[in-house]
Amino acid sequence: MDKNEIIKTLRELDLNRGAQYADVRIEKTSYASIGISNHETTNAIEEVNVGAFIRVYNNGRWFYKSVSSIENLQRELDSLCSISKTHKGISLPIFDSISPSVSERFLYESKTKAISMAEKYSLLSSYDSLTKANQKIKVTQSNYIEKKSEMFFANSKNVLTNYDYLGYEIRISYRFSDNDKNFNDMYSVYSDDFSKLLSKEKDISDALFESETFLYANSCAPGVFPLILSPSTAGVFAHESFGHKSESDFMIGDENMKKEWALGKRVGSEKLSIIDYGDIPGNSGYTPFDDEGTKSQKTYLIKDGILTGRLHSLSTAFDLNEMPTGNGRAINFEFQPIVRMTNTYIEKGTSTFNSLVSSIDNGYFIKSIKHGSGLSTFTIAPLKAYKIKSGKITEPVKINVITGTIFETLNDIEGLSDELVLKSSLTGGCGKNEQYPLRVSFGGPFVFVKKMNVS
Amino acid sequence: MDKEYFKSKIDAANISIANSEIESVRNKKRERSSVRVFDRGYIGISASMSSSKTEVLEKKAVESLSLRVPVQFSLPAGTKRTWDVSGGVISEETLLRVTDEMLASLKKSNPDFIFSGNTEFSKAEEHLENSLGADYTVRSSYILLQIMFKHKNSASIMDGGFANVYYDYPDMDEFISKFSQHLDAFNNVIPLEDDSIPVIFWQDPTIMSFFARHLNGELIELKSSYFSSKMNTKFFSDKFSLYDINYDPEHHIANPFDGDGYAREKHILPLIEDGKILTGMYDLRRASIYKRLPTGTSTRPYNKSSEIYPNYLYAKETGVSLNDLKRALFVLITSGGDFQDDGSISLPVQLGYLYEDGEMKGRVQELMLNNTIEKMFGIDYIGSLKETMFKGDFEKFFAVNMNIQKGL
Repeated sequence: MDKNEIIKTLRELDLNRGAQYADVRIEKTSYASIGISNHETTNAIEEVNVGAFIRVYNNGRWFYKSVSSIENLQRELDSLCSISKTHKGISLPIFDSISPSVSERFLYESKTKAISMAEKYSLLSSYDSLTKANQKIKVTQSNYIEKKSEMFFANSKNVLTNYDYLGYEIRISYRFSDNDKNFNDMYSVYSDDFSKLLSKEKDISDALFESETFLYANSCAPGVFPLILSPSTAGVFAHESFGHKSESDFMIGDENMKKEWALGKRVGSEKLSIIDYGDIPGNSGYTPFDDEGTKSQKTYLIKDGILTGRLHSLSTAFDLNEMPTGNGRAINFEFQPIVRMTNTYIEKGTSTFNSLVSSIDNGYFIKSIKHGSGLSTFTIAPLKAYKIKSGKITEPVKINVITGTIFETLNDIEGLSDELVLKSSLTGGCGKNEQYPLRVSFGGPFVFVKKMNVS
Repeated sequence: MDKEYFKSKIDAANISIANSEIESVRNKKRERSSVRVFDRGYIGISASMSSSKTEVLEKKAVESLSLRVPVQFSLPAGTKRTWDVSGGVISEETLLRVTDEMLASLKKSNPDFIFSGNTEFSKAEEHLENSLGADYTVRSSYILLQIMFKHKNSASIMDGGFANVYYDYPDMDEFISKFSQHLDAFNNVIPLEDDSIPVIFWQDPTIMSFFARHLNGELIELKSSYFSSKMNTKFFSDKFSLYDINYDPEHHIANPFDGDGYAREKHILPLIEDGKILTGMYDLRRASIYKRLPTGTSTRPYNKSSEIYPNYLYAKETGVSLNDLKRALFVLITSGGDFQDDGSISLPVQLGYLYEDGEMKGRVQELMLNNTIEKMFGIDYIGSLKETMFKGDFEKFFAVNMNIQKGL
């Protein structure tokens, strides 16, 4: 079923069959992947899926249904409306502000057709073979992933939004081993343009050279130190430590959180601004319209250290008397939209990376990480980190975990470099409740933090 | 040409809770299908997560043979078998009522807290059939109660969670009683004066993931596992035995065949016995490459190749009881820490309690646990305890001495 047939199917649905509100989201996703494990091809597959998610709201409660076929959508919708009518709750004028609109943004209609699986395989295989030269690389896993999604949305308020998304990623993972010493690392490149994945041989060789040095890294001395976070590390920090707290569904009905997170409050250093914005093509968080049909807004979560905004779905915006921001997102057609981030980043500053490093006498540079998480205390498990001594990056070090209290760390940000790098990926993503992985991106400049706990 | 057909179906009702109220009801019918064909040393795969006809998938799988993906193993032969570990069925109406009652009770006995999360009844069926006679069906079901909590005065988006999986009608009294005990202890913040006490873990994913990763047979063969140089040696405490279990109907564990359709004869696979590391885990591909026996420990997402992964890692009970531990640090949530490849670990405690004389005395804050895998299951291993969080659970507590560092 092509794009025009899906739009026709949506237009023909009668969404006003007794519910106070109804919407239908159809997703058509083309997926291709190739896997090479220890230089043997293990997987090559192309897949096309179409499915739909139906939402009905009646008397204060949502009723959802996901279906893996779009042949009988009207029947499924009617059935859900009929179930929802049995609920006797409180009705809220939650959808009164929605105005009819038609929006369409198809950027990638012709881009995937010209590239054969053989061409994709050949590229991946050539990159994979670069890992053969180093005898200390014992395990390798190389993957090509491609995802094209066409998203179609209609609701009972005559809103129709459609857009497409395209991403390519190559990821070369490798494990160095020398006697009992081991080190896992990977190189990845992502783009919405296949040609940007080409000619990466030097980048991969450089990455392999750097990774090998970590095989013999010494453990760090634990303590409290100044740190420089790389753009991807800063992005994970922004996402985990602050972004999740900006998802306003956590605030609904929680008077303490409303007070604690009152807009206008100072929450960080005046150098710090954090933004979430879905409408940045070319990144894995690209979401020009969310899964409730709302256009993405550029939302300053923090502006110059002041709490300025938060992320909303339709429901949370209504509950907090604010405007929807286009952050109602689901991982796929099997789930309901909930408040999620898109592309989240720390705004760049004016310093250079070298000037940030030169201001540290004894500290660490966190170049890449394994994972991060954040409750009231956030934690980041570094992958590659370097010692900074007398204003210079010196040797690689092993760090188990860096931790901090979120507000203290936000206030301890003392410098930002003058470049902005967003990290995109099709493997992994963000998890919330049962929904993992959601494609997002995150990033920022190099960030100088006055003190963090290192162990 | 050999062929394999796989289909998994899930029919689930999920109730979402926000701000201590039911927010939504979701019905999900999920289907995943794949067809694999094996021909003259090559494999062709097709897959779908939306409704697809088998003939269409088979045609695509045959077409994909042209990509010339080599395959190092043959499909396993088998017979027609069905495993059914389904428990009781509860209707959506009953699940709604149970959820409503649970929330009412939790709110009444714990007015200082806000609850969120979800409850779910899920019914699943997996069917794998191949041209060598394997014709396997597995049916299962569960009821999940997964509730997050936050104190009304807390600035965090959540302070912790409590969850259990049931296979029949949930014992709500037990669930609410245990949950309330933890919430009472949460309200009582106390200092940890003695940092030499044992640590009790419950369902900590970081610790078991080290064994899952380093008992990967391929890593062991390639001298790239922490355990590569330690195979067939007594490396851990006599008290520590670790098994992979793929089928236990009493506890509703049902992975009787692996990602490639290989059904191992014995459902219990000893990986570590009395401290001695016995074997790594191998799927059919790696078993063929490294000339080992397959261990039935692989998982295969419907649209990918199989990966070595344990079914259910179980540490043998050692006879130690909670009563033997007068005082301990009971860790409910750790987050953000990880093992280094040299086996050292730092685990930040996100939610921990002081356990003393049979009860949770209060919550302790800002602790980091440090140790190495060798010591944790060697000289510092106290044992896998007799007790479980909920009666009938398979998952046991285990107790270890750790270096408890105050402050993060």
